[in-house]
Amino acid sequence: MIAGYLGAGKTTLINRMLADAVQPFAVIVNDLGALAVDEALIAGQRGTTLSLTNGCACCQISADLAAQLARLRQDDFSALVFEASGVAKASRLAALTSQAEGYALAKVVTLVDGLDAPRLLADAYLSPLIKEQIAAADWVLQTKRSKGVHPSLAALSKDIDQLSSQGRLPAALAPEYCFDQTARLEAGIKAPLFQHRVIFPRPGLAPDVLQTFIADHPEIERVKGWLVGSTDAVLVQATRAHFQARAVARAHGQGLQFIWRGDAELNFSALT
Amino acid sequence: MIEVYVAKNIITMNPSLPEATAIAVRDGEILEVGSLESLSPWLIRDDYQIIETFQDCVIVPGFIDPHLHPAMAAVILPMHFITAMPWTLPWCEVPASLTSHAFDQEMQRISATVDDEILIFWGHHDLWHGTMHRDRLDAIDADRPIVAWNRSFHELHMNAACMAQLGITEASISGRAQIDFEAGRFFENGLAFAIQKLNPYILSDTRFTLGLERLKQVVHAGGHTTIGDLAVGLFDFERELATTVKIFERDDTPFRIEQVPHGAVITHNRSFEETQTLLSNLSSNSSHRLNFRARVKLFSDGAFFSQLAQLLAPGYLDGHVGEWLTAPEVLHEHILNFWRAGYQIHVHVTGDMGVEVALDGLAKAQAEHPRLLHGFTLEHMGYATPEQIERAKGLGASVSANIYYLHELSGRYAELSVGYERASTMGRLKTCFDAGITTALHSDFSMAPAQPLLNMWVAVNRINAQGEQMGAAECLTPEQALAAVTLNAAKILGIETFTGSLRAGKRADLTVLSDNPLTVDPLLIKDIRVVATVFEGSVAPIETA
Ligand SMILES: [Zn+2]
Ligand SMILES: [Zn+2]
Repeated sequence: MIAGYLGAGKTTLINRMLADAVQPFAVIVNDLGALAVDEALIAGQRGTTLSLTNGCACCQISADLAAQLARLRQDDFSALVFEASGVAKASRLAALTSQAEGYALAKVVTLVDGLDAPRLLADAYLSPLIKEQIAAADWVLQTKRSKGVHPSLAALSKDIDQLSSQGRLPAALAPEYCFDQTARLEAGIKAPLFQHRVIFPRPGLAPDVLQTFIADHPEIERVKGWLVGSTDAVLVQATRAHFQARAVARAHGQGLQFIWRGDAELNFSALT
Repeated sequence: MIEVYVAKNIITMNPSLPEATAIAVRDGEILEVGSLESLSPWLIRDDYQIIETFQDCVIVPGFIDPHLHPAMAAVILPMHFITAMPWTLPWCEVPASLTSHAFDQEMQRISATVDDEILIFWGHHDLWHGTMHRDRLDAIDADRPIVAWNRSFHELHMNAACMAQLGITEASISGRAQIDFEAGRFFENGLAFAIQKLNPYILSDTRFTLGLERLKQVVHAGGHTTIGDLAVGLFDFERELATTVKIFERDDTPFRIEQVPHGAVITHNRSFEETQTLLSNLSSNSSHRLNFRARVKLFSDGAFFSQLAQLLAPGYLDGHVGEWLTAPEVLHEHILNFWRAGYQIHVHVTGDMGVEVALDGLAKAQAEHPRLLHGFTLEHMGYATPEQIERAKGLGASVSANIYYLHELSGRYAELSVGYERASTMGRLKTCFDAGITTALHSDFSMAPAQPLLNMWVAVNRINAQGEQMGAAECLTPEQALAAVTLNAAKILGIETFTGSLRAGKRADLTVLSDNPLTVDPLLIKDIRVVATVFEGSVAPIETA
């Protein structure tokens, strides 16, 4: 189970796990209440993705989670990654999902945004939740900050590792290793800092305008998402080396996700 | 043809003409409220018929419950009730079963009369009915699957036949927490395992349809002419739409349902523009009794009954914290989107911190794009501070309260949850009325009985389940309480232009009572009988046992 507040990087991590996976694995996203982008970005990758839409997973008279877990058992997956909703209390959800027949909960990984942590921990509405998500985890990973674990997080737990946003994922995050409770991330890999943001381009934005924008901003590493026209849509997948824009009948999600290097803001006004 | 209803007393909720004795109706619409003499200009111009059936009764505007959940109720109502408190259900009178012997006898009696594939009893409570065990259920009938569901819904027992039918073996549950195989007991998280197995039965089409048919009877028996389904999609959006039209859009349904969609469900995987298109299509395709309008339901903090309300300092006695159903920033984003689009926004808030986050969202929205008469409503509002109520007033918010919390929970919550001061002032409704806030009552059925007179009784007397009065300073007057289940409830749903009070031009939605709730001993308000309703001019009698 991947837990963590909104923006902690859960979807990004799951995408990386999917990209690295040797064998396909299943993903369940409990993103009800979050904005629509998350699941759309996971969909289309390898593996089977199901999203929970009916109520929260804690509502027990809900066919959804149970039915989906049961349905997934028909397929031949060796592992399932469950993305908890950003406001889920990890302990409650872990207790609930550990009851599912045919499944064993291997570990709860909580992600914390290292840049946003001071704000979240000072927020009276959110700090109890963030602390609970950290306390309930088998493994806590700080994301987005490369300069060591933020002191406000280190004060909560000595056991927080850093997750680099670049390079291969630590072997312990490959689903096939998830059952190995002893596998641990090698902490402290230095990496350039990345940011990501989902923007909503203005309708009808031409792909070449986007391509020029990417060329003009060498810090951009990756762009993925949809440009929506009046009748059709364009699925964009771009890295520094490669720009692909493919017309599709209909956008399966919304927004464009940008990942860029450095901690400076990007001005997207040319696109929105 | 004009129908003229005469009554001992007609309480109109129209401040300019609060009382009357006759009401003239044509084609489902009120022509005039007054006396037989004052109606004569109408009566000399058209045929008329005087209806004297209710001449010894009291007529009030048709009751409105602005917040309940038909889909959830449909899951529960097909179960067989065996309870410590007597329940009056339209299809059966549930006697009080106060001993374990009485509980077993009821199981025996019901089991002999029905042939359900799985027999599900609801209402078992250890304090009255003794410890449940699968052997005890086997003793009722070892050959048929039986489930005894706890009153709290957090626990159930099943017998060996039921486990066999569902394929539950000792091996399949080995090592799971909160399941006791020997006793057939599934509780808390273990309950999820049992429900997963039971879902195909409790959610089957036949049962779901039966549940909605029963809900229809419950709503009518409570005296309602309008209810609000306050989260269409709570359970399954498409299925709810399809089934409710089939069951409720019929001439024998004596009420309308105002449908308010679940904001997180309808925005899921849709852009906001797509959501708006969907909702405006639904609104323009509204049928006579089922109506979508520019309204949405959003959620702030967790369930009141589970002590998951988010509390400001000093929090819970035991130091646990509540839950967010929606992240505060996402809630604010939804509020802003729907606000800019001109929607009436309903936010589920249970604790004072939940209220704070909702009001923060409203304040942001007002600062960015001021609106008047927007109908932003705080739903449930278990705990709120007087200062928050002042702030809500300033921002133009309304309140739709679940006052039954006070009756059922204030005694226990004083001891076990939040202490006496806050427990006794949950449902701070007098403060809301004094501030001039539009304030209504709802049942959130199946969280509380769908009986407006019972809710009025709680709001007026504030007596808890232990018989103690809690927070006397927050008692409503009977007039305020009646407004809270009629005109104010109509405002909460944004339909006050055509229902909620009795005056020329509104639809003829009436509730006929055996006594006057404004003049009876306030302690007897809950004992007033609902004799009939009139929905848009059609009389729907209520048979009593
Ligand atoms: Zn609610
Ligand atoms: Zn509700």
